[in-house]
Amino acid sequence: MRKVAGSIRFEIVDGDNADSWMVVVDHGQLTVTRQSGSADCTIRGDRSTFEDLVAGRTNANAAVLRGALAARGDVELLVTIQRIFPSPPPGWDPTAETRGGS
Amino acid sequence: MSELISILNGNTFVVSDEVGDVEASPTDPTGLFSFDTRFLSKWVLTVGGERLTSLSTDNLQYFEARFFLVPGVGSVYVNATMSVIRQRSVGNGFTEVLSILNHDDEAVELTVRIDADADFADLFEVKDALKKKGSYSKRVEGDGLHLAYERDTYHRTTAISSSQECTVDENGLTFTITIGPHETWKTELDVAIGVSAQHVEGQGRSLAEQARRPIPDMALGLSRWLEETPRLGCDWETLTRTYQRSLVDLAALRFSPLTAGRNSLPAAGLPWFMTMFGRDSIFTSLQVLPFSSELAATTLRQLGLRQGTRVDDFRDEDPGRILHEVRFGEMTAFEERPHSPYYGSADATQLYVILLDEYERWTGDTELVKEFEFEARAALHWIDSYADLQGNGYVSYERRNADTGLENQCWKDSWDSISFHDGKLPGFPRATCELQGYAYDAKMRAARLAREVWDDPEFATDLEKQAADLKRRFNQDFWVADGEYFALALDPDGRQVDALTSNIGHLLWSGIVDDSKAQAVVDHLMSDRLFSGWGIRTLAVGEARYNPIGYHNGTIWPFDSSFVAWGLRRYGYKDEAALVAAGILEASRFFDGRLPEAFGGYPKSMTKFPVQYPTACSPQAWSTGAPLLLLRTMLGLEPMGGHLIVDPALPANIGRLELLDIPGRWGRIDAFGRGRVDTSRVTDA
Repeated sequence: MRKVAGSIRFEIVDGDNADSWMVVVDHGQLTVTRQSGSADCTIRGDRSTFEDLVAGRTNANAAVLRGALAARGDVELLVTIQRIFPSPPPGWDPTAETRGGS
Repeated sequence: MSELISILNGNTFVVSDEVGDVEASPTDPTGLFSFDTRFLSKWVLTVGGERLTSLSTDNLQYFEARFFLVPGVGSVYVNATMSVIRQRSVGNGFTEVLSILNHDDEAVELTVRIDADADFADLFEVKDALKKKGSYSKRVEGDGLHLAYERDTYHRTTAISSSQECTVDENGLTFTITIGPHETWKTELDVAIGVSAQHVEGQGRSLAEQARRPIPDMALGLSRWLEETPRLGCDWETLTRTYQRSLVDLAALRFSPLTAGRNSLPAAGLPWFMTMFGRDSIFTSLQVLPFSSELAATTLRQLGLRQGTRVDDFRDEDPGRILHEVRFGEMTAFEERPHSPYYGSADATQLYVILLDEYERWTGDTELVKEFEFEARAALHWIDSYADLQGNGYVSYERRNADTGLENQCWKDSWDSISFHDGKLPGFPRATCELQGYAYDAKMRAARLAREVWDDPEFATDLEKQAADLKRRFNQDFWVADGEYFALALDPDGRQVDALTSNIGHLLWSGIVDDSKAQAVVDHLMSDRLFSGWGIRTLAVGEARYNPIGYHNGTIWPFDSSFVAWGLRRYGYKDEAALVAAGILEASRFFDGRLPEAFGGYPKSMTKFPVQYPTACSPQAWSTGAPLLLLRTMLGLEPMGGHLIVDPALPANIGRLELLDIPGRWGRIDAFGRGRVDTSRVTDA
């Protein structure tokens, strides 16, 4: 992340409300502020999706593919910023929920 | 089954029959695919209620095809007064210009119909015949038909429209037309794919819009690519034809991820592997470097951007690990498959460092090497930590995702590819020999970069010490003393997995083989057990699992042989390298210049022609790259300082060979050679 610079805005949707967090990446330095405004990359999703992301229970790339996260702007920033989300909990199996149905 | 016609653009491709129709069964890879999803599974043309018969098909360019047809099926054409032309080109989705020519003196009234449907199958579902979990809908809208698939937040759509008026129903488009005498009727059909997601405000374009980004002029792109790659002049027609075919196929396999702008990297192969693979993209980039460095640069950037950062058992991800495979389909989206990305490869990480160095040696682009210093160091750290599963100083692998992860994480990735001489399969973790060779080479090359580019001589010295130690241990632990070759692997108890395989050729390429052992290794490679006359068998005759059509157990992989030839050359065995090159290139003659993924390991004396392995994957990137690497090997092209060394050792059936405008840090250089190596054993019919 050291060579990346840019701003990413996370829009966390909770019913009719949306929280906005701005993350500014400047060559390895991360600043997080609670503000809206224009960013190089905007990522929007439900609160539950973000809760899963920060707990490592879902993967950001997969969430984008299935439309649980919507994104606009610089895709490279999107791929870079998903690195900050943690590892899954030990023994976590993302297919446990869906596997029964197949 | 009749011949399949494919056109492609990056990871969007259309596979149809020779009439241009698609009637996909759940398990065959025909239809319109994009982002690993089948957006069209039915596309059938009827004229006057009848199916059509193919007169001929022109694959004009890799991205467009033209089908010449007449109405009716069967050997006698009742009405040959009409012909039909479908001209199809792929972009985001595809367009098809449908022309019907009336050759008669009288006007004709006709009903023309296109039946269409989409199953939105994930390529993985096509491969494994799995059922869908979401719901379908169809909507008639004006002059168009909208097909949609929905599962929770996952939406995919196909929109079909026509430039000429038609009647639309849920199953297709109907044209009721009159064509005057000697006149032509035309319509342009457009099939557009859609990836929709919830709306998001902000700067730039949404991902859905980027997925539909405009396609640059493909014809122009191809002619530029051909202009910028070196020109080959040679009196061996097989070689010139194969070279041209390879260049065009490589252009076709270029894939531009959304994160890469207009730059592209090699996708692995049509139809199953039109995506980014760590190993395949790197091997192909290495093969192609003397001809074009663009693929290597993009590969390094894109793989670096997605380097592992977490410990994730489902994806077999570790910090520093270079990915194995990226997918975009529904099963990946719902985390039913781990490809977002999947990291289960035990060699891509070492190969990444190797490519970084080789790239700099050719291009002198130290900027990129500086930019990716962190990634290279993280990769080297992975080799010594996460990859050393047994703490014995060797890279080994054992999947942590036992359901959908890969059992064998080396290039021979089928389940039974790693075996003992007696056919038994070893337990896990497995430390295959070439992984150690690549690790050695990665350390040696990184040492050079540390000294010359990263300004860290201490790190360079450390790496060289580690490499020397690895080489010393490896030459003891893997050397099968009574057979005088290197074992395929060490099993979890440190026992030698003692099958004789082509992997020993990769060891030569890596430079890990002690000089005193090289001759014995070369003798094995060139023996009748491994060298068939066409190439090097993956597994030697006489091993329990040897089978001339066993996927990794006896077939010949042109890519594999090309790296073996490079290895022979590295240790000074020029004539042997020329022999292997001549064998593989001679084989290409039987495939119209397009080498398949693999062909049978039967001795040349037995079959007279190479027997294609029954697989649908063609063209395949690293087979396409093989003739290029063989050219480099035969010409002895080697960057040295700011110069290019040319030291040809060509098969004697080549009178003269010139490769003009070889790009690199020297600008452009020409290479010339005359044949002198006696390869009659493989080139005489």
